[in-house]
Amino acid sequence: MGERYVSFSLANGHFCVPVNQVLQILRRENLIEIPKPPPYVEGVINLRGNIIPVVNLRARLEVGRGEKGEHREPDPRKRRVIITRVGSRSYGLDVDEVREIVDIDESGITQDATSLFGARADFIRGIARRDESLYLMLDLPRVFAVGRDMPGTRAGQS
Amino acid sequence: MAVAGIDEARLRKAFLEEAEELCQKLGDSLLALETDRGNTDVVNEVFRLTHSLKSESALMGFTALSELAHRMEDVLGSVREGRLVLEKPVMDGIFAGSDLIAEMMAAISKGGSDADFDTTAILQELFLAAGRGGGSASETAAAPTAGTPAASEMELGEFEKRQLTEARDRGEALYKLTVSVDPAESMKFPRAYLVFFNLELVSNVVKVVPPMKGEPEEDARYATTTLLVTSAGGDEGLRAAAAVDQIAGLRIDRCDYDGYLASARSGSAAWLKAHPERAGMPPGVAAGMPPGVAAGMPPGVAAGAAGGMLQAAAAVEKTTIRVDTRKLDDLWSLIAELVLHKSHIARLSDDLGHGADVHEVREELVESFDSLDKISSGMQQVMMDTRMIPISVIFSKFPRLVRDLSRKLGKPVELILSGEETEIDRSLVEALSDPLTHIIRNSLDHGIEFPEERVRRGKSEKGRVSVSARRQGGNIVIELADDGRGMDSEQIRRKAIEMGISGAAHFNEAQLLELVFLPGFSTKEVVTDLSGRGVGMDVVANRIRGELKGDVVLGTQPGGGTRVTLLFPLTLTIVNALLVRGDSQLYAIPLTDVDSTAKLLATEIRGEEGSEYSSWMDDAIPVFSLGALFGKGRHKTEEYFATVLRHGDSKAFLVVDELIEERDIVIKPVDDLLNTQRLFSGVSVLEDGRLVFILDTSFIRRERV
Repeated sequence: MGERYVSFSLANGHFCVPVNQVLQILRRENLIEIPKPPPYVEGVINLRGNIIPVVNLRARLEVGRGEKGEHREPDPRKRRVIITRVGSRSYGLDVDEVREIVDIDESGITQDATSLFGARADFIRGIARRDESLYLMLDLPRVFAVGRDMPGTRAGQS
Repeated sequence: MAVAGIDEARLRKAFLEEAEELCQKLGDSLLALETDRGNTDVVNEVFRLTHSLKSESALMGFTALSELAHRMEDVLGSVREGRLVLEKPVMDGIFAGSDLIAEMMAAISKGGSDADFDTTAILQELFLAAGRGGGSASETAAAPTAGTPAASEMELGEFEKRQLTEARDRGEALYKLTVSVDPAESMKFPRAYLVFFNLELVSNVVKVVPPMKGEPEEDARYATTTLLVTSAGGDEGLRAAAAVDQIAGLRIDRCDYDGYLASARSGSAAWLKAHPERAGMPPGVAAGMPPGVAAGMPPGVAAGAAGGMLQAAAAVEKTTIRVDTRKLDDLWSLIAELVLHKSHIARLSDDLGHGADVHEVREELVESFDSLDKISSGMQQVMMDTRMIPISVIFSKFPRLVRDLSRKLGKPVELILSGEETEIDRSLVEALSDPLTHIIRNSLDHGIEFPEERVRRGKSEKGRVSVSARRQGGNIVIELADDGRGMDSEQIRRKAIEMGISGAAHFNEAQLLELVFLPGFSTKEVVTDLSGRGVGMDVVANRIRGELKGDVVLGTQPGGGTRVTLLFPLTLTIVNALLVRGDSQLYAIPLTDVDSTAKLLATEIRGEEGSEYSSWMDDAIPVFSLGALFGKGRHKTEEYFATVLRHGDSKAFLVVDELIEERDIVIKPVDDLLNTQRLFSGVSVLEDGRLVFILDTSFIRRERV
């Protein structure tokens, strides 16, 4: 039995998060910018009165930042915010495009992401191969963990 | 099965609510009893409470709990009848029993079982205590001897079991009658009572559930009444006796004595044995069964069902609160008014359509709006009130805490509580309980001296700890004071210098005392007088300043005692705040943190950028600005709008771009991700969707120290 995932694209990669952790998918126009945002925060979304921080996933994962030939501006009409739930908290993910729901079999998951995903491999829970595509499975609690592992807040890291 | 599950879940919940209240009252009464052991009213009260606990828990099949309460009831009974004197060992035994009952209750409410607790030692202690009364040992002959497992009794009490045994020996048959009253019948209790009364005439009623107390508000409980009777006359006589008008259903099950007399480990299983219909048996099936079958449900079935129910009960437990019905009445009358105004506005809109004078309609609308405004703030007030709970729920634990600690430490201490009726937000109860307990513990551990030392210093032998609560504007103030050693700020200074805290040599007293709240400060390395004072005080400070958005201040005098003052807002959900603007962003400052607003001339600001200050009253206080904190810096003009912020004793100017208005805002929590600099205590959304960040003014203190 596989689990179902919402897949989305960001920069040139395909990523996915478990369906059961996704609360809602909203257009990016709903995003409210805030002054002097903390690192990795793109803004907030007011979801039925709850103020939910939206994480700038490009910055957090260090993808699509001016690497040669790979820099591609996302189509603003396709940009979405995926509201996810981690424990008792909710966070938004700012993504380029939401693609589809995919079934991923536990057996098709490779655990080690370092070879494919360099620096921020610790945010990737595994890599799933399906048809011709590779899906990087986000480790949401780590992506949203603030303070401990965030470069820029950690002393002595550039 | 599902229906049966809900039934027991409800029953269990009702039991927990009632038993928890009984438990709390028992604790209070015991403390009262200890200070006034001769008071027969209190003895009676304790007797009554243990009795109720016994019966309630027996009904639910919590046999260990029931037995323990029963044993306590026995002891109190002996006291009541003058056969036993309440000496210290007896008191201690009862206290220990009451503690264990509280622990069992806590376990049950979390889905556990009372059977997980070993009651042997306490039962023995109670038994021995009762035996000291002289001659009473024979009265409680059935008390277990050492090593006997506690749960040897079923949901029936000892007396009831004796009745059963005697009836069995007389050759009578045991029946369980389930009587249900027509649900539409508004007076259920009188019907049930009539059945009970008739049965008493023809049989021996051993047990009735629910008990025939007949409180009017509990009438619904008598929708179904279960009676356990013994009779020599066969079930026809019973059936005739129970034939009362408005009785919708009657079931008579012949039961096996062994099911009620034998011991069972699983309380729920036993309870289910007594109530086979709860395990999902179709009605009528059990009735036609030969004796023994109904009572002898397969244990697996019973236990399985009970397990599921248990979880359901645990899950729903925290979602209900008790609310004074008067508050609901208030809410109801407000809603009635609201409905009235709704139709009024609808009529006005109609009038407009029929060419009514626009100005007249407008005036009426304005009036209606004023009323709606009053209604909505009234509703807000009622909702706030329902969230409020007297602080006595926390304070009531302290007499016991102090009693136990003072015995353990050998320091006689008098505890003085005041302002217990002060109401606080429910959500604060949990957050406050630990810090307060911690401070009191500190007072006894480290503040209060041993009696000899106190006498040597010319103090009374008995130490004094006082805890008071009061409301001060929108804040709650709790003061905890002791008359112990106090702290020497110069010793703190020496310690601080030793620890390499910069500037410590020039700190004033307030700043030195503030160091006690630093994590790791003043541990056992510190000189004895100070020892331990600081341990955990950082936790207290974090809780009060962080979670409760309040403040904690220490005052002390070497040799004279220590006073800890906690101050925090009444409620965390709605706050009266000053709305200000910085660039295009709105911010709110809780009014409790605003000292005043002022105009500040550029020429009045001195110092370097980043550490600017200006004069306020006779002090120089720091100048912050929203622009510098959140934007690109302060716009340069000749004159600024500023608020004077205060946090505890600290004050600072905050330069803003615009002072907008004072208003109530609803606070939403702000995620850590948005609050990396800890400048916000929350966030709020205005009606027009604009976002407001609520400033946590404690930053002015952090920046300064």
